[in-house]
Amino acid sequence: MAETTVGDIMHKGVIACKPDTPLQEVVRIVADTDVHAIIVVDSQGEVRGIISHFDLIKCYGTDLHDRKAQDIMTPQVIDVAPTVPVSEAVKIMIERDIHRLLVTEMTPSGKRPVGVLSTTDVVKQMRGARWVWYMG
Amino acid sequence: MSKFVRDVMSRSVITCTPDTPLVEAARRMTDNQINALVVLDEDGEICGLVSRTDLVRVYNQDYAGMTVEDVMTPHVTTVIPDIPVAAAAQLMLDNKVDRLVIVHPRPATQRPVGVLSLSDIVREMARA
Repeated sequence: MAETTVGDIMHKGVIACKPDTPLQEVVRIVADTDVHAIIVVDSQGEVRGIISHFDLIKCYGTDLHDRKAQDIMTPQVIDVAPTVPVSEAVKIMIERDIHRLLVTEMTPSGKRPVGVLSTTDVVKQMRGARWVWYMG
Repeated sequence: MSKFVRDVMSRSVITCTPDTPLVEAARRMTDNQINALVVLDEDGEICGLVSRTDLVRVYNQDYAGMTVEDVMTPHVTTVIPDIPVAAAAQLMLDNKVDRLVIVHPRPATQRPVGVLSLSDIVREMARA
C-alpha cells in the first residue's frame, strides 16, 4: 500500500491576503472563512508570511485602523511539497511545534502555494481509516 | 463596551473520558468540527484536555489501541465567565494555550460550562 502523501489529504487552495491588506479586513476574512491562519502573498504570488489566530488576538482591544497584514505577520513560513509522505510532514509539525504546513509546488516562476496541511487534515486520517484497512 | 467571556464563549462543551479510544476522540473532533475535547473524570469534573495536536503527536505510532489518557494534557487553564475577554486573551497568550475552559465560581466545581477558543475571540474582533 503506497504511503499517504501530503497532496492526498491537504486542503487544496489557500486563503490569502496581500501584505498591505488592512488588519480589520484580515480579521474579517479569518472569521468568515473559519480558517486558523491566512497566508500573506505579494503581487508576484510570492509567499511573504502567515498570520495565525495567535498573531491576531495579540491585537485584541487595540485600534486596528491604519495597521496592515505585514505589521503583524510571521515572516517565516514552513512549507512542504505535496509529494512528501504525511508521516514526514507530521514529524516537521511536531519538531517545529506548529499546527499547519503550507504546501508549495515549484513552478518556472518560483514556489507557489497550492494548499495547507493542518492538524485537522491529519486527525481526519486518524478517525478510523486504519480500522477499515484491518477489516479489508 | 468591553465584553466578557460569558458573552463570546461557546456553551456547548464536547467531552470524553480518559478511557475513550483515541480513534473515537478523533471522530468526535472531526464530526463536531472542533479542535479539542474536555476530558472529564467519573464525577464529571475536568481532568484534562485533548487537542488535535495531542493526537497528531502519535500519528506515527500504533495509536489504534491507545486511549485519551495516553495523550491528553492534564493541565487545563480554567477561568470564570465573568472576566473581560481582553484578560482571557492575555492569559491565552501568556500561557500559550489555544483555549480556556470556563467553570462557575459558585458552587466552585470543576464542571465545565463553556469553552473559549482563539476562534471565538477572532470572531468577536470581526464584529467590533
